[in-house]
Amino acid sequence: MRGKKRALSPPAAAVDATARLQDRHLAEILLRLPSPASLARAAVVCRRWRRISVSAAFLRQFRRLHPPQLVGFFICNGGFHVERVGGRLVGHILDPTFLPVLPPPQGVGRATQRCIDFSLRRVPDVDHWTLADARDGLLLLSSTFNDRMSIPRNFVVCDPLSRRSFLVEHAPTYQLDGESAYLGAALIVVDGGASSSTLSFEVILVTYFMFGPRLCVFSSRTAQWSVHPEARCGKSLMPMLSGVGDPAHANGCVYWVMDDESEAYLLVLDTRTKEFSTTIKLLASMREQYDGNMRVMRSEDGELRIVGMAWRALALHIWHLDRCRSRKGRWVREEVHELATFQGVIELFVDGNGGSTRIMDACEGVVFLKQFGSDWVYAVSLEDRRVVKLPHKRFSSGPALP
Amino acid sequence: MATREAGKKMIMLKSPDGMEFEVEEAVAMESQTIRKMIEDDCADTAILIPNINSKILSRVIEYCNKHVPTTGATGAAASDTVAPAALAEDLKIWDAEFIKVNRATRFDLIQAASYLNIKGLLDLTSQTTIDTISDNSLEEIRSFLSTKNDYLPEEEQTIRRENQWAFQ
Repeated sequence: MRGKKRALSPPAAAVDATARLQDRHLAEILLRLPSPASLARAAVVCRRWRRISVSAAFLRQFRRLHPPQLVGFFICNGGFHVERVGGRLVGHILDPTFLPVLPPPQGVGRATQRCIDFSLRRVPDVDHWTLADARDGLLLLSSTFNDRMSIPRNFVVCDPLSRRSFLVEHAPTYQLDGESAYLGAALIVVDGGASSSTLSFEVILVTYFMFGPRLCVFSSRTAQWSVHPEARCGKSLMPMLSGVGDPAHANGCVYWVMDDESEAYLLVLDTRTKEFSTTIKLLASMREQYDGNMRVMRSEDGELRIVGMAWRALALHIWHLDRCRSRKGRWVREEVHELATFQGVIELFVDGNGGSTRIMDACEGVVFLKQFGSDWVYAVSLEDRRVVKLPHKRFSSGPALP
Repeated sequence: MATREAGKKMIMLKSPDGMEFEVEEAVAMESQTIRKMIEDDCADTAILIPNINSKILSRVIEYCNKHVPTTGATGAAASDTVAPAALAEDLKIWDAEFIKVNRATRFDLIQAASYLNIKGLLDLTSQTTIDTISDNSLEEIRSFLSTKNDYLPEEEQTIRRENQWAFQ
C-alpha cells in the first residue's frame, strides 16, 4: 500500500502527523475505533488523544456508534455457597458469578475473563452480599435480606472490570417508619458532565409504608445518604407486598409492577426528578392473563415494553405502550412467542414439574425465566428461538461493558 | 473534469491557490456544505473553497464525481445494465484504490471532507486511518503517526492501570 510505505520510510523529522488535524477531525478518526477497549488504549498515546477521548460529547457519540454489547450475566443467590466442579457450578452461588453469553462477542475476551474472575474477596466482609441491581457493567450488592420487612442497610458498588468497589454503609433506615417494607434498591449512573472523569452514581433505596413509597438516596458526590419525604403518588391503598414485582430499569426510570387486588399499575420512579408516579395502568386482561408474572423490559430507546408470561398458553407476550395517539398511551400486544416451538424448551417443562414459571428479568431479545422450586434460570433468546439453561437461581443481568 | 453538457447546471469551485474547477451541480451537491450554499442562493457565480488546496480539491471532486447517484443519463453509461450490488462492489474497489494515498494527503482529505461535509468521504478516510492503527501497539501507533508521547512515565502508568482491562 502506497500510504504505508511512505509513512514508514522517513519518519519526517518526527513531526507529529496528527498535529495538523484539528481536534474535531482527530475525533472523527477516533470515533471509528472498533471497540471501547481500543479507545481506552488509544487514550494512552498522548495527552491530546486522551483529552479528546474522555470528553463527554465524544463519549456520547462513541456510545451511539458502539452500542453496548451484552457480554454476559451476573447471577447470585443471596449469599449461599456454590462450588465449581469441572467448570460447572454446583450447589449454591456465594458470590455473584458471571456467566458469559455464548459465543462471546468479538473484542471483549479480556473483559469477559475479568468478569469470570470477579470475586468479592476484596469487598469488605460486612455480611453476605446479594446482587441487588446491575447497570452499565456495574453491580450493586446489598447485604442479604430475608424478606421485604427487613431492609438492607449496607451496599457496595462494584466494577468487575477495574475491580474497584465502593462501600455504601449504614443506610439511615432508623429514620423510616418501623413497619416499612423494602421495595428494592437501584443503582443510577449519573452523567458526570464534561469535566469529570470519575464516575458518579447514586444508590437508591426504596421503601414503602402505608401511604406511599419513600426514598433514601446515597450520592457518590456528597458521600451522604439523604432521606426523601414520603411520596404521595395518588394511591393510598397499600398493596399486598406479594403484589409487588422486582424493580426494572428502562429509560432513566425504575418500574415496579404493582397489583392492589383491584387493578394492576406501574409504580414509576423517575431517577432524575426522584418523583414517583402511578399513572400507567395495565389492562385488566394483562392482569388476568399473567397473574402478576410480567416485567418491564430494560431498554434505553424511550419506549416502554412489558413482557408477560401466559403459562397456560405457553407463550411470552410483549406489550408496547403506544404513545403516538395520546400522551397516556395505549397498550398494544406487539409480539407473541410460542415457547413450545423454541429449541430446548423441553428441559424447562420437565424441570418445571408443573410449578409456575416466573419472569426474572428481560432485556432486548432475552427473557430470563425461573421455575418455582428449581435451581435453574433459563435464558430465552427471542431471536434465536432458543431456551438456554443457566446454572442458577437469582441473578440480574445487564450489559457488562465499560 | 466534467464537460459542459446541454441542460446540466454547472458550478464553479475555486481553491485558494487560484485554480478553478467547473463541476456539475449534482456533483458539487454531494457536499452538504455546498448544497446548503446553493439552496440558500449564495452561490450564483463561483464558490471559493477556503483551506483546501487545488490538489486536494481535485481529489475531492474526483470522489464526488464517482459517488454522485447515477440516475438518468448522468455519467456512467453502464449503470442501467449493472445490478446495484455489482455497482456497490465496483464503488468499493474504486474507493480502496482512491484512498491509496500518503498519510498527509489522507489527513488533508479528512479535513476537506469534514469542512465540505461529505459523509462518505469522511467515513472512508477516517476508517482507513483507524484500520491502519487499530491492530498496532501503542508504540507502533506513535511511530506510525509520529505522535509524541507527552505523558510522564508515571502518568502513563496510572492511566494504563486504570484501563488495565483494555490491555490484557
